Amino acid sequence: MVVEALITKNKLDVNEYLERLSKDSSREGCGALVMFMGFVKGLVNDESVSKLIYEAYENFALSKMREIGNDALKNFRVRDVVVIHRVGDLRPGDPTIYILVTARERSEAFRAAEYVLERVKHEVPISKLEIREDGEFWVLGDGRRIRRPKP
Amino acid sequence: MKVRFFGILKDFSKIESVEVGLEEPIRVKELLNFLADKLNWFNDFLTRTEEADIPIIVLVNDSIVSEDYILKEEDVVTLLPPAAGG
Repeated sequence: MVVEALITKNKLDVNEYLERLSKDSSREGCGALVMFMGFVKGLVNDESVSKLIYEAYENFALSKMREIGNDALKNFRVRDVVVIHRVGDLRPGDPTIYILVTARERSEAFRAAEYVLERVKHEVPISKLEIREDGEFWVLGDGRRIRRPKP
Repeated sequence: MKVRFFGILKDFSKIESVEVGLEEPIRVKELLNFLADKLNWFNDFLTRTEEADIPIIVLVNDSIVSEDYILKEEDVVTLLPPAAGG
């Protein structure tokens, strides 16, 4: 069983992960891999978004991501949980988060992936600044947006 | 003791971190009032976070500690807004 957590500026080589996880987990009877990928919205409240700036409070964020992955292993019949969050300046369409889960049964993989995503969104200290045509907004965990104070 | 700010809280504080001397031990639950007494600008910071309805999460040395944890001079405290990943 594998839990992998990573915070990176780089795009993931998705095919490499899909191939490796499916090959390794198949030897232990797995036949399902669920992947979730979030990406930057180009339009929010009818306003055009030029970029999202992600910053992680890295040490704590990584330990929290590992804790969530390990909890998923305890709570669901899954083999692998991979959580990768990107940071830095990301443009519309750029991937922001990847969650990959393998399991013997697809239902467990789907449920575990959603569990991991929801916990990451609400518990991992990552900040998100949305740069739009009409100004800059901090995005909070509940989706609420607060206009950035002018310097 | 060092106090650091993250995300939107860094915008509200207008600084990344501040060093604060501890003349007497204080508990985590007393921290915000203590800082408001010590630092003139911290009251404005608290007002802005309250007006924006942003709860403040306190980490000590990158860990969540109990509200009764007694802060030490060498501790690094980080004030975080709610998570916004994904």
